[in-house]
Amino acid sequence: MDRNSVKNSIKIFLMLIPSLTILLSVYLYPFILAILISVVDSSGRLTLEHYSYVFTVYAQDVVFTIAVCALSALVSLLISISIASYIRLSLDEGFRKILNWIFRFPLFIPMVVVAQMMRTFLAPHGFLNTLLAQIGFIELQEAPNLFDWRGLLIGFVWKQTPFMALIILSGFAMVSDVHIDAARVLGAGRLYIVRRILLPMARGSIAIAFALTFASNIGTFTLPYMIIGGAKPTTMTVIMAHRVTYFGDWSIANALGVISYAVVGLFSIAYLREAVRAGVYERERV
Amino acid sequence: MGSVLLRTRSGILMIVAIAVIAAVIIGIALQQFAPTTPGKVRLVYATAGDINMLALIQNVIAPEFTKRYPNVEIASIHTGPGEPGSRIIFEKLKAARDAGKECWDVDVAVVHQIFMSWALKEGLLLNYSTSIPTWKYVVSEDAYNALGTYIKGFGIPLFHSQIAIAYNTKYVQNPPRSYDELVKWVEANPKKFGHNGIRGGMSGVGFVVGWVYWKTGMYDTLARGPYNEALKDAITKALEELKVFNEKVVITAGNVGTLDMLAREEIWMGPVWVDMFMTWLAEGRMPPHIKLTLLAPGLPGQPMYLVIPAKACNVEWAKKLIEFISSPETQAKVIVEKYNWYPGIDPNVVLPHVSEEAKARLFSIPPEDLQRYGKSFPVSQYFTDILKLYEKVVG
Repeated sequence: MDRNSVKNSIKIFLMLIPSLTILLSVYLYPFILAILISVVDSSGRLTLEHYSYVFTVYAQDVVFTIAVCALSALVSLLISISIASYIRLSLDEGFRKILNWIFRFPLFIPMVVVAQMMRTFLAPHGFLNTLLAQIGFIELQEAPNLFDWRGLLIGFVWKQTPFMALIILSGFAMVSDVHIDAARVLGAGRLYIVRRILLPMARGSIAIAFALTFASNIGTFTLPYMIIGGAKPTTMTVIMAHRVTYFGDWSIANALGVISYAVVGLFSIAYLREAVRAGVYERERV
Repeated sequence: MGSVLLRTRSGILMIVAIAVIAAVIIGIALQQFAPTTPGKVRLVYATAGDINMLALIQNVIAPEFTKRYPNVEIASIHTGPGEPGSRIIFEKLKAARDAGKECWDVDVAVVHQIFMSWALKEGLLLNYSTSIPTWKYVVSEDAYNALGTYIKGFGIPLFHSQIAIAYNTKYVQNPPRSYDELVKWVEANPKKFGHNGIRGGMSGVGFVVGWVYWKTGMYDTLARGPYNEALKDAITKALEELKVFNEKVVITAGNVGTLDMLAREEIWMGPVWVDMFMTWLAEGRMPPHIKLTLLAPGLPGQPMYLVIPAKACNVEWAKKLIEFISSPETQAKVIVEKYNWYPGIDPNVVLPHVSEEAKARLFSIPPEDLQRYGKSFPVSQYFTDILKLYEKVVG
């Protein structure tokens, strides 16, 4: 029996080796390296100068990145909850099917294509403003330039909402029909069901969707690079690319990288711990 | 019993799966080192730059060259736009050198100016260019001096590219002829001039550099050295004034962002790369009533260089390929007519082969203006200073 269990553990270990190797070499090693590079100066001594440079020159951009990414994730969250709720609760089979199919569309469009679309859509004389001018809403000569935080917000929301809706929908699908039907029988309206049954019971999925979207927004390079370009403030990813491109400066690029890890990490830990735990326990109790 | 069987079966399946994956990986790895058919030469050509740089080798140069020398096969690698593209080539060569390889797997590389100082400092390049026949056509200062580094022998300019100001003749009848006049024009027409700052591509960087040349009046020192840290104050002052100027302009989203906004007439003026602008014009993406001009005291331009790594595997064939690319015929038909660049070699030997139509395009900026107002980029330390100070002062 002992022999068997030893054999078994060896087998398990062997099976784990490939994934473990990949995990260590592709994730953990670069992660530690990034932290190291960001705190070492050119002669190899420990230093915080790279961080102090970031906070004197790029503080505005760091705050901008976090704010825009969080706001975009929040707007995506609201829209995706309404889409998911509608699909979960609607009794109109036909329309539900159409919506269920249509909302996934942006999932298959890469971020760089979204960025290019937004560039023509949101430009001062682009599709949106031309349309608004035709209806007489605005004067084309004074059309607003949306290539700032607003352009980023629209791009992120357009791209990320379906992804969020998909996760939230699967959370809603796990809520048994029994609860919903019971509420309906007792006269609860759609909004009430969403607020009191779906949202609390799918809290875990919602939290995960929000955290993943926020993290992926923070890591996006193409959209801010193509929408904001050289203007100020811009996102941390654009500055990282700039430091590496023009100065071969991995120290400040990595300092910015570590800051984004920290923001995403702290945020996810705090948020998920609270929300997922509560969600799981509540579901078990039900 | 059944479960044991199942377990062994899944165990076997697992082993088979791992074996298949391993075989695929080894196969791919081996292919990298596979010897080509005997007698066939595989020439590896790495290029930095925009996607047109890949098209240049893949669609035009390689087929022509292979037609002449059927035993040569050209494998092209594209490392990406701007200086990061050149940096990738630099790091690849450095890695090959550090690994102690006898033969590095790049034969010809096309790189930016800044690459030359990196690569020469590390001894990564072959001193070849004076030994090929087309060297006699190489006349430009660029072939000797790249951002302050003396490079004679290590590279031949593939082409020269220039930054100029594009303006919409519908709204701008008398374009400014100097930075001074531009500032006045912007005062009168706020938010109708656009450039992309320094994080969105080199046309914006060039505009900023030209501004610093103008405000400091120290072009010769900035472009030729020697480096003097004390100039930082003058540069800072120039950039402070640029910050004020920027409040009345649009900061666009990159080189293409400026072209886009010009084409949609959202801005009426902005700095562009001449070759990109001409290509857009030829493709009908830029309205024909948008024209080019240069500003006094000048706007920078830059060449890209053809180089051979110090331990290229096929030096003789690499030289033959570079000779072909830098011949007056190829320069005329490909570099000037097809891609709208200025030739990398002496224009006097190239122009007789160029069509009248292409000549007209090429001279939309008169040659005298180009001679007078076409400047170099600053030497690398000043260049870095300008970019870093821009972020501190302007944002």
